[in-house]
Amino acid sequence: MTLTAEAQHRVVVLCRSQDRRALLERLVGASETFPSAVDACLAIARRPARAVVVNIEDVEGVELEIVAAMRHAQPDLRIYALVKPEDEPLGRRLLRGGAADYFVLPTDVARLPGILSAEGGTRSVE
Amino acid sequence: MAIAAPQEDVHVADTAARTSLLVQQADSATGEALLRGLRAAGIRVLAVSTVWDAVVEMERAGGARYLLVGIDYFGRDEFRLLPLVRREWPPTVIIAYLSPGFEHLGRIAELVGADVILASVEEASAFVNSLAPGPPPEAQEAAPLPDRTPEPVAAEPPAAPVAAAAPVIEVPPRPSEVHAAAVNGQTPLAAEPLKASETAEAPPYRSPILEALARAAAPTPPPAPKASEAPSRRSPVLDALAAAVARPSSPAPRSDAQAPPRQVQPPAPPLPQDEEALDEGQVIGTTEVTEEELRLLLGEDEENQPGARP
Repeated sequence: MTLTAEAQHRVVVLCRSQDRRALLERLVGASETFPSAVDACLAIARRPARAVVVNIEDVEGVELEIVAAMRHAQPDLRIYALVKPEDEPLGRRLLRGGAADYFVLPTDVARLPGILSAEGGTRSVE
Repeated sequence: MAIAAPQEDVHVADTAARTSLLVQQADSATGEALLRGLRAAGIRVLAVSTVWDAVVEMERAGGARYLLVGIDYFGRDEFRLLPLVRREWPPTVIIAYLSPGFEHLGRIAELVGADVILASVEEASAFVNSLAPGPPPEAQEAAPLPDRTPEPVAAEPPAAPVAAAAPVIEVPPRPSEVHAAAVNGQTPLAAEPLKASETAEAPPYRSPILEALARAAAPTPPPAPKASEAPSRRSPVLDALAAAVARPSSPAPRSDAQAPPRQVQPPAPPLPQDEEALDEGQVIGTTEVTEEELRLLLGEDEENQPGARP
């Protein structure tokens, strides 16, 4: 799928925590933030986006399902996950489930702006 | 909940022609009965396994005539599907089905937007019966409607393996007028939201159902039934369905005559204070629940605290 110019710059954030949302918006810049997964899925299904950043803490227990649904909505969507240090194994599972990368809070998120740049890479599944 | 690709009926190439979307729930006899019954009745069903997939499919199809959701294991995030569908696709009739022992979730589903609650296989069968296709009115006059319509009414023939393999549920005779136009309506409900003017004069799909269901479910002008009378009514499912489909398709005037006056929900407990009203079989799914009320219902008052957990 070829993204339009608008979609190239569109980043969707799924985050409920107000503080973390502020942090993400500062790192990501212009983005659309949704507090619930259904709203985020609808936003992606309705208009293509370049990437989505998911605060995994807010979708605990259904993160793999949500990643699958987002990829179903837009197969080339780059999905990034924020995980707590103790959830690092979950980040690896998300990679196998189709996520492009994960970031371990709190310090690893500093990589996010670079990853979200045009040449953002993908972490390989180990 | 297992992740699985959506299973679509064969021969349903046009997404806009889908008539119902079923969010499957593992090990639910009610859900299985619904799926089998709908397909046996010739109603097109797209089955998905998660609410997230349901959102995607609803958006792709531009809505659905019916959304059937298994809610036994719903959490707060899953429940958000219901108000979202109510907001984005107002004409869609939302049917929540559940297993015995999960009635409390049925109450929440009603509060957040479900039009019909199916709490047993019998209720699911009654619901399917109310949707089953029948011959056009002229044909009914020429030949009496059989108890069971053997062949589904669809623009294209249903998938032979699916339709043939689907066991037919034993159904009682159904009111003929309910089925006269039910599935013969060819226009997908949500693909083209009905205008008010369309409902006034021979609409393609909706108006005959509304009238027929309303007649079938409420033969007399319904004074508010008492709680003790509710179980003895002939078909509470039909009653709820009639009220649901009679809802105006336009999202703007939501405070229609059927909805009770809006009252602010009490904050803390997940179950509402107007429990008595729910016992009366009152459908309050048409009442719009604000995001804040939904948070309170689902226990999210701590939502914005850093690090807060559900």
